[in-house]
Amino acid sequence: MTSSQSAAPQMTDLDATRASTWTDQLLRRPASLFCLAALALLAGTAIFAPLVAPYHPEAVDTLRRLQGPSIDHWLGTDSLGRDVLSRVIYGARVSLGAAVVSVTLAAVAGTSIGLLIGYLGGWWDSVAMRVVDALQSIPALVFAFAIIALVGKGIVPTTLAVAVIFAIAYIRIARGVMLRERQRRYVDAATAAGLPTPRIIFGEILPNMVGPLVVETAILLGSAQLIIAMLSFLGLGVDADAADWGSMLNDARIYQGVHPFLSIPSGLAITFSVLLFNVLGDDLRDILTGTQRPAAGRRAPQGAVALSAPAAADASCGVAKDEGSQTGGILDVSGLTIEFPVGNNGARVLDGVSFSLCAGETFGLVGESGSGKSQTALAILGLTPKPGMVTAGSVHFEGRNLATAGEHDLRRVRGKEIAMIFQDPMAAFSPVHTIGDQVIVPLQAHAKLSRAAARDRAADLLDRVGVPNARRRLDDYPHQFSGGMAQRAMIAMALTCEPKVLLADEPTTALDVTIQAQVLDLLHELQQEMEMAILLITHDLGVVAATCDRVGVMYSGQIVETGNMSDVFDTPRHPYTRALMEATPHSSSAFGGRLPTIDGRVPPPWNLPQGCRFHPRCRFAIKACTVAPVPLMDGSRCLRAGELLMAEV
Amino acid sequence: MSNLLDVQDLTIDYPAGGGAMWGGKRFVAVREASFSIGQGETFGLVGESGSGKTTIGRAILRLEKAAAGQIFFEGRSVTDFGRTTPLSYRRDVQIVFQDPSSSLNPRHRVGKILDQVIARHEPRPAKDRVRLRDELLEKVQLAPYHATRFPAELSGGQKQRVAIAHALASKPRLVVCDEAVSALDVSTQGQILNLLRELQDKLGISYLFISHDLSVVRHMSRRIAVMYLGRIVETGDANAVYTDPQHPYTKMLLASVLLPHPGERDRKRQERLQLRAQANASTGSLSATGCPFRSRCPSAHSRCAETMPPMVAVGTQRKVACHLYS
Amino acid sequence: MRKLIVNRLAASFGVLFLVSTLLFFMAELSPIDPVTLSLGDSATPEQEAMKRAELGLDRPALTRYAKWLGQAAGGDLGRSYLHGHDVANELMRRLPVTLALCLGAMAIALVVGLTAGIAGGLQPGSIADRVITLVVSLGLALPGFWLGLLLAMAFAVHLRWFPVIGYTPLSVDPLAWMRGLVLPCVGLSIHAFSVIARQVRGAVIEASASTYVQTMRAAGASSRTIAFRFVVKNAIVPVLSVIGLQMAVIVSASVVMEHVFALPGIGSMLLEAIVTNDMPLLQGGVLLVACFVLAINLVVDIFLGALDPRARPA
Repeated sequence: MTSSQSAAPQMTDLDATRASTWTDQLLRRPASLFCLAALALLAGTAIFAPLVAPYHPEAVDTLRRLQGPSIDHWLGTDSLGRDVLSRVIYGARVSLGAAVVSVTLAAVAGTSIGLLIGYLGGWWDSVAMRVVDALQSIPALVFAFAIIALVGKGIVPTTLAVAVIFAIAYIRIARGVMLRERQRRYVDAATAAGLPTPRIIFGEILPNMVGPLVVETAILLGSAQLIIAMLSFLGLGVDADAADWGSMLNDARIYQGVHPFLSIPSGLAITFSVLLFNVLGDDLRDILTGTQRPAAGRRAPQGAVALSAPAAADASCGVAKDEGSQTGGILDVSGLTIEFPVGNNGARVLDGVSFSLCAGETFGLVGESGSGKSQTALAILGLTPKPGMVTAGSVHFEGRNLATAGEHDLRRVRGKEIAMIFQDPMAAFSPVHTIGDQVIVPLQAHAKLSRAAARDRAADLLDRVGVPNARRRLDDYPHQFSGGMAQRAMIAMALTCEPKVLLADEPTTALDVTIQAQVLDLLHELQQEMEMAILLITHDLGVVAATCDRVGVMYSGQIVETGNMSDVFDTPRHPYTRALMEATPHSSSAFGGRLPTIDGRVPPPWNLPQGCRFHPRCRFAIKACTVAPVPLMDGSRCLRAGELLMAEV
Repeated sequence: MSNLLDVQDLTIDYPAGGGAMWGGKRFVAVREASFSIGQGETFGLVGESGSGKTTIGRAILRLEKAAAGQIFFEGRSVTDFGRTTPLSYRRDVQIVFQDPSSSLNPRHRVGKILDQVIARHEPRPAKDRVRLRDELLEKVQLAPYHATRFPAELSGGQKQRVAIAHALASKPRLVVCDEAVSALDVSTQGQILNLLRELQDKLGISYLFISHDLSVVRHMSRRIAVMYLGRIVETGDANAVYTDPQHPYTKMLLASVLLPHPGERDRKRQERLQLRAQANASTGSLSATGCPFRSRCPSAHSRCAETMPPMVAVGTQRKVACHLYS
Repeated sequence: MRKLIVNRLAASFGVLFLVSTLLFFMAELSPIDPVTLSLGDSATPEQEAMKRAELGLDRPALTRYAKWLGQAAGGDLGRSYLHGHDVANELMRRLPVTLALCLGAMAIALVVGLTAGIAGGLQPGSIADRVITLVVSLGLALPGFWLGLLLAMAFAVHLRWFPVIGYTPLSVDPLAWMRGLVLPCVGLSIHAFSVIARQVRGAVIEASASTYVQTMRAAGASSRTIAFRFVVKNAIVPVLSVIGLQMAVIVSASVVMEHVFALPGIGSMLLEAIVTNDMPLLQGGVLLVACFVLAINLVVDIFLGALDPRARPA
């Protein structure tokens, strides 16, 4: 465990998952690929219009006016007998061309201005933003009117007008990103490293702006087409005789009673080409923000959970040290296994976790991030996040198996029999509802109480957990609470129905040291008063030691050691427990030398090592450890547990 | 003056609330903080959120402006530099932030992140810089191939190693470690703490080690300062402060530290309950005058609301800001 | 709350002042000379000078600006160069048409957009959600004026359920008034509806994934309670500004819809003003539209303040 004296580079490359660039990801999406291909085709058609179009777009044939589709004129003719197909093809030149030019102008001008005012800040920024606000209070189209009134009609003023309108959008984005990124630590780091200011703006911040700008550009290209078409439709943009989708629609408007088909080709052309840009923009946004498209409602098949019958009651609830079903506690978790679909085979984030929680005791689950401890708590209440599924094991609570219970039955247990508190009390409350409205939720769900009675009870509880002026603070919002007070309110909410079991997931991790101690002491008092059992989940060995009667140490989805608090901490019987204890600096130990550390890192659940999951990082590992999974025996999941006790280091 | 860094009566404030531009009220983040750091020494700064410890670190890097007081680096006044910071100071003083996923530019590869600093401070041909970069990666126990990675492709510990390499690239003499291991898991935290130690031994760097975690601070530093709401309330030899705290806040802070020793828990819980029971929670509003801790203090009296207790020496190696000692 | 409204009102007046300044100087910059515009090319220099004095154009720009601003504040927006109509009267005459059109379209966009967005967001991936998503994607790409044309063709020309074009004042025949507005309103609402539905859907999905929803589930609240008491309110807050923006888009797109259905509203007046370079008419119209948009923003801010405690001034 103590890393070797020579500083060996960390050659283990578990993180072989290279992050792919957004262009790669875009090309892997069929919809985006289609859009890109279609846009290329459209652009090609526009550029080579003279070669593709069957007729000249302005070739008038007064004998064949307003005709429907025919062999000669696939899409018919317009009011002057001009070929509609040719006009649609030539129209792509105007539509796409004007859109591209205006958006490019807007992007260059808007981004530069936005960057500048975002960087200068202060007065510059306020004044510029006032002007931008004023300009934005004039809707885009009306703004375009004003510009056209100023410069005159035609395609150039139209393009210019659209460019000015969109430049405002770019100013906002560039400034917004600039202000946000300036807060980032990497900008501080670059400043501290002495990089000159222009380098920081263009070399550091600008690359982080590319994503949002590309997304915006795709969407704006679509909008630009719509606005330009609208202006042409109104007779303000492109000259009425020119081949342009918007003015073609105006022609169709005039003759809509006589020849209704006329509006279809140009209308479809606009819709289709805007749609392409929009889909592309959406895909880009999804990729850059890392959001997945929600899959079809996938539910765990009800029969999938292996039913394990409760075995004969184990007389001593206290210590349940072996593999298999757990009984005797108020809450018995047996062989709990959770899988997430990753690629073709699932990833087991939880693998055969078993423990009992006895009435009135505190059981601690301790482990590093990714060990599966939070998943355990969520699974007890049937709250495993999708697409994860409980694939084996049982959760017995007062004779019922919660792992197979339906949503309706689970709901009667949640908040009433088993309550839960979460790590970040600020995020765990809805920011736009009062604390009072939220604390009474369990009461309203389970007890037939009037709102007033529920509020009375909530006020009493807030008072009990040490929130000053409890009744008045019911009407406050979460952001008016400090972290410690919010966590007290969270505890009050959990206790409103006097649950028999409280699941506390990292209840004090987000809190300051002195507040953490206060909250834990409060939990201890409340437990004594209400005689409830607590399952405390934490990564902090100090928190476990200060609160728990018994403990389970988790590693990589398994409990690797369990037993009475003092036994486990004083004489650990699994190398991981021991390593964890040694790696934690103690404030009771003086200015120290090297800390013993655990090399390597927790394996990802989709790439678990053979045999004991800890063996690649274990200094006691022998050949036998690498062969077969090690069962939990006598409270330790280690083949050499017996020897370890002897070998004091 | 043999100290590398001297901070004297440093005060830093921010505009408070919305009316910032029109000279509204100001919120004092740090008030009259003084300490010094010697050559090759680690000085620990501990406190809870809002204590101002991070602000001090940022002011040393000139990422924050001092409202009053002075910072001297090797006798040169840092607070008098004016608008531009000399490159030599940028070379000498560096910083490692808490969250490496935010302190490394997500759009640059590790190689580029390091190379820009090397190029800035040691203009040499590209081939030499690659060698320097690889040496740097080796110093923080990474391999040359990590230079081709984006930060998102690295683990938390590896990212923090890169952040340390970034700080070391200019061969600094003082590195401010601002909660440098707080975002890491226990096992990784140990690795990074060891690395920082090793680098100090090899390169003779001084650290200002800022953390809310008392255990980590004690492990790293020989001398520390404890901060509460913008004030340093106690400073001195770490062993002395931890084993025999003088300021009531330090006492409460230490009683709140939870140790992984189940045997001690009842004793410590009793100690905390006692300290809290004595505290007179309903003391008037916080004002600029007076001791910031008085509303939670078990030994507060009328004088504490009137004047801020000055720093006074208690014993040979300790200073405490509390009226109990003045 | 009152503080919020007062703050916002003050800010709105500031913006209005800026807008009117911009409008005045826009007219100044315009290459078109109002004197030749109203007299034609054949006027003698004496006639031109007289007209110039009559229009007050012989005085310095800043003096005229101050005067114009003072008159505008008092409701006097000058006279049309072309017809000599009083601009304010003209606006008042046309306002009811545009108001009815816009409010109708806003109502449709809001009701249908919110319903569709919430329905889709609460059950992402369901068949209903897929249909909504498809309709929304089309609605975003479809030019509203083309949809107007198609609607007119289908329901007015062929089915004869609604009049093809034209406007019947409410005072003349309420039923005909309403029938005349249905198609323009629907056509005008489609884009705003799509944007609102899309944004709300996304916000609902995001809110559903947040920690407080987990808290509520763990507290035993039913999914209905969670969805309608907690998720919806949280989801509306971030999209309120988008909703406001879409309402403004409706106002501006009404110009086009008035053109399609030949409605005598502000939009067709603006169009006429541009074609004839009638600056006072254009200034008045744009100023009115700006007021409309500022009113929308004010309402949005009030809603935001009511829904989100963090948006209220301390």
